[in-house]
Amino acid sequence: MNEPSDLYLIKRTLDGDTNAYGLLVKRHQDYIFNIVNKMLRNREEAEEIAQDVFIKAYNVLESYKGEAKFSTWLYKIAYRKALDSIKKNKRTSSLELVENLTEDASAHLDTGLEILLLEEKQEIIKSCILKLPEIEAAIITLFYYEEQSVKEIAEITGLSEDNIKVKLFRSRKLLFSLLASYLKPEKFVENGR
Amino acid sequence: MEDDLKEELFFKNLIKEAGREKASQDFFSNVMKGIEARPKKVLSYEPLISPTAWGMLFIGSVVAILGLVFLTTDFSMNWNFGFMRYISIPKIQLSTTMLYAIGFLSLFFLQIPFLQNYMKNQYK
Repeated sequence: MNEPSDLYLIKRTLDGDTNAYGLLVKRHQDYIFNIVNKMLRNREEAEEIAQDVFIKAYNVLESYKGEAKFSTWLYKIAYRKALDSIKKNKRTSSLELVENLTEDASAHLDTGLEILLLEEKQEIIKSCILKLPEIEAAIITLFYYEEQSVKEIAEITGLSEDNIKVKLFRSRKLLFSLLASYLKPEKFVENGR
Repeated sequence: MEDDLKEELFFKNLIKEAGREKASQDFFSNVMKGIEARPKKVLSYEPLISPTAWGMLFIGSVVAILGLVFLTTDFSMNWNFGFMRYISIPKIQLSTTMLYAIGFLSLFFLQIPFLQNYMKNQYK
């Protein structure tokens, strides 16, 4: 059976059906939690903020006009709430970008990751994303995990499309260097390289 | 350019492989509890007849009374009600109590549209 669309569930919610909103929460909760968690790097705080996102969205649901996707609208609220929380706690991080990544380094990285166990690999990738600055972590999450377009990310973050492209490029390079630093040289040696 | 595309594809696969973080088991129930615990809208008192309506009624009454007192006219309508003698209307005898009862009932019915409107605004 076809799942009801977001728009249909929103209409039902506005007519007073809280269960319809429950379906929307279930549908989007992991996506929203994921981006907030990547920005805040604290599971408990991220849960709290992500829950606030859904409560706020419920309170202002009438203002959703359907011009953008409902998920984009939710990400926008989530992004702003996470940024507010970061500003409130005065937490910012910055990392130096290693620009001189060669094609050879990228090949080593690929092989280095290949020989790791899946769980180990997942853990390393996740912790590397968590080391990115908040906005870059959000952009990488939205682009690669949630498959949002550059245009949609620009709408969510309020940044220009060119700026998003630049940040994506820099984040990729940064992630590369972070991943490379995680993989011990022994791993490459073991692999005969 | 080709390298950039390769790099992008590599990242796409890498990040997909890392998997998405999932919210806790209590997440959903906490959101729904939060929604139910929202402060309810406080219904503020609104008079059945607004001050503007009272003002209009007052002005209307004053104008009507003054009109009756001061406006005189020689105009009279000489209607010929002669035909009435051919119509026999039965005389209805009503006691004073019945007249009062009918009067109060009419007043009650008169209130219904106002009450309906009032209730509608209350539960909007």
